[in-house]
Amino acid sequence: MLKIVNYSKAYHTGQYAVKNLNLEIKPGDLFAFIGHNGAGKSTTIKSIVGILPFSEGEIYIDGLSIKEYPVECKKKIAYIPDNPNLYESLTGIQYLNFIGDVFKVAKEDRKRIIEKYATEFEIYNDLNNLISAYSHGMKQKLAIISAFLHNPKLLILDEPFVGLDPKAAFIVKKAMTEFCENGGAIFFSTHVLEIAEKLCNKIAIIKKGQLIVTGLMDEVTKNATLEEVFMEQTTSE
Amino acid sequence: MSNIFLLIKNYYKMFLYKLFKIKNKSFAFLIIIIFSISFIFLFTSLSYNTIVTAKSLGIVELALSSFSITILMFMFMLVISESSPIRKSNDEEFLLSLPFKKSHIVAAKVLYYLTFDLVIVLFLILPSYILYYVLVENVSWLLIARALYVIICATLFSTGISGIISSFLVKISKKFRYSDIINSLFSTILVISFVAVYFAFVFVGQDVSKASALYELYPVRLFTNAIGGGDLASLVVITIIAMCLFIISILVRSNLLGKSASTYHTKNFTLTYKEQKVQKSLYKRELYKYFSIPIYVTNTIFGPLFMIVIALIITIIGKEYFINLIEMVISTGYEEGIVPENIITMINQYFSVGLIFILSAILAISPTTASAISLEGNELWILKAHPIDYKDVFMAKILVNITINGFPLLLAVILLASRIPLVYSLFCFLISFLVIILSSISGLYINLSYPKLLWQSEQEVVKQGIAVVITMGVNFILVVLPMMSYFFLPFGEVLKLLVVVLVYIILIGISCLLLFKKGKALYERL
Repeated sequence: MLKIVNYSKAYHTGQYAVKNLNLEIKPGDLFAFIGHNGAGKSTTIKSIVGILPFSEGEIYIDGLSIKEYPVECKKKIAYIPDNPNLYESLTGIQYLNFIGDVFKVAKEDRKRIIEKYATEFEIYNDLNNLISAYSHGMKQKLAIISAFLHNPKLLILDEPFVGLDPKAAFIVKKAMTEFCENGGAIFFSTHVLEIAEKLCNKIAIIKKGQLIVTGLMDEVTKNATLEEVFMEQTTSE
Repeated sequence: MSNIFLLIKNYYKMFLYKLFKIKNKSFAFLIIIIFSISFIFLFTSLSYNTIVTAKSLGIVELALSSFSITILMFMFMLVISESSPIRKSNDEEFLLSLPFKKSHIVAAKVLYYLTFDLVIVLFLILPSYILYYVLVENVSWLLIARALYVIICATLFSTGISGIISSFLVKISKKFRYSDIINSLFSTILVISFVAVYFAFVFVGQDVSKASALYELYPVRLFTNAIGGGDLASLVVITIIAMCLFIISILVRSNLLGKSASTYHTKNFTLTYKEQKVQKSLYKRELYKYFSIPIYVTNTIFGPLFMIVIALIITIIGKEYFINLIEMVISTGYEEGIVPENIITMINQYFSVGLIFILSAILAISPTTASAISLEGNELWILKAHPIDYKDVFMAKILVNITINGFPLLLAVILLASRIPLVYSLFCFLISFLVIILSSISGLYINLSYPKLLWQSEQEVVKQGIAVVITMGVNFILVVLPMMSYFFLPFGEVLKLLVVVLVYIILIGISCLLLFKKGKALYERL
């Protein structure tokens, strides 16, 4: 579903933000991507979703290169950034309709999905208000609804639990598990190691732009906790 | 007080950092310098002729009254352009969390933005007083110092008034759902009032007996007495009014700081699900965005409104009246204010063609596309992370500019059709429409080349954006050069205009190629 081959991203100064990254995510995988602040998580994620161009390596979405077929690749994925800045001059429902139009989601389908998630997230009655009046958490919920709107094959989430209330976080976790059980794949970054450990079957730890650990969660953690593994791997030079 | 300076210092540091981070700085700075020098030269030469004319009449002080009217017009323009309510700044919550008084935060921000307006006004008006000091005998250098002081006070006054108006607008519109759109409408009304006042001044100025009444207006007399005569009482009055209004506006703005700009909450929970083509959806979103940023509207709607007023004047009062207006404007460019006979004949002869070119130039100067990319700011990820073709994004932005300018153009041409020959009406629409398309494309390309995606408030993009200034300069050249070809072609009238149309079509073709080839790469790099 997602294949990253020798991906590197350099700043204009020549310094590397991420160097020689290789990853593969298969349908059904729930993949956690963890690392310190500034380790290169968001840079990698932005390149996967086609926001950030890169010159070295390749990223394939469902077999297609994001460099060569950006629009086709983006049709298969949904992305939620760490800080969802949505169109403030639109109402919630206008924004969701906009995303629905982008992905050509049929009227009945968008009605079903929006009603389901908006009710669960308890923002249904706010959808006719302007997004500028939303709190951070409400914007995050709206972004999550928009991500599920077109039934993507791959979900790319950057810190999806930031700003969510406990109930919403529970719903998101449940939705993520269901999504992967139904053949979808999720690649997400998080600092909440407990969630990653409980939720994911695969993990990758990135440090200073280089992948230091990757594999199945059980194999990586063995008898230790993910927190212990992370501390051990990231504090040693 | 030290907090205010600390904040202002910080704003300048950020401004300079962003300024020197711009790619292709030299080209941008060159265009800005050429543009600034042209404007300064234009204003100074007009002032020179005003002084010479006033001297020849034996009433040299008349020049000072004329300069006072210029200050007044600038003040009015600043009030209009600054009265649009500014939406919440990105740094507002951060600043409120720091141990600063609200009034200090507001004062720092207002003073920071004020300096940009002040620099422009100083560069355009102060040279007139320097010229007056040089050309008129027995004038003390203190006149320049007084002019400088009065201009500073005038800018403070305008900022004060606009702050009060914008706070008032925010207060009354916040209960409505589309409060930003209501604010934009109010701002548009203010722009219309400016255009009306401008033409009223020109109208009054045509009649010698009424023109002298303009000089007797209280603010004009106040400025003239303060600067020319050094009248202490006038200087005190100017200071008190400017300072009081400025302080009141700071207090009023502080009161609103941190409060939500909208308190509207709908009771309608019925959702509308509507399928549209992505192109239409993008266009509608772009149009919503345009009308929800009042400062964006006020700074781009001047052209279309100005054009409609010109069309109305010609239709209602007659083309002879408009010709007189042009003659009057041109007369300020001649020493002693007398336009040579051959120029008058030329104006009459080329009236219809001249009108086409004037309307085109007005529409080309400030396209909405010049800041459309920058205004995406931190929302740009939505366009980039979703499967949206860059061509659709570009087209939506171009179409909004065509809509904003195209409909007023159609209205203006319908009005003008009763006063100018049909063939010229058709060419007027065709050429101006092509100019709108060309200026939209060039504005977008320039904004892609000089994007400013990190900003605290929209004002930084719309009023201080380097792309906006470059677009003004480039579009002026792009529009004027094909027009010049008209006067050198050895063909008949219609054929010459057809050649101009052809030139614009070729230019549109070239700029389209540039936008969709190089512009694509620039967009991907954002």
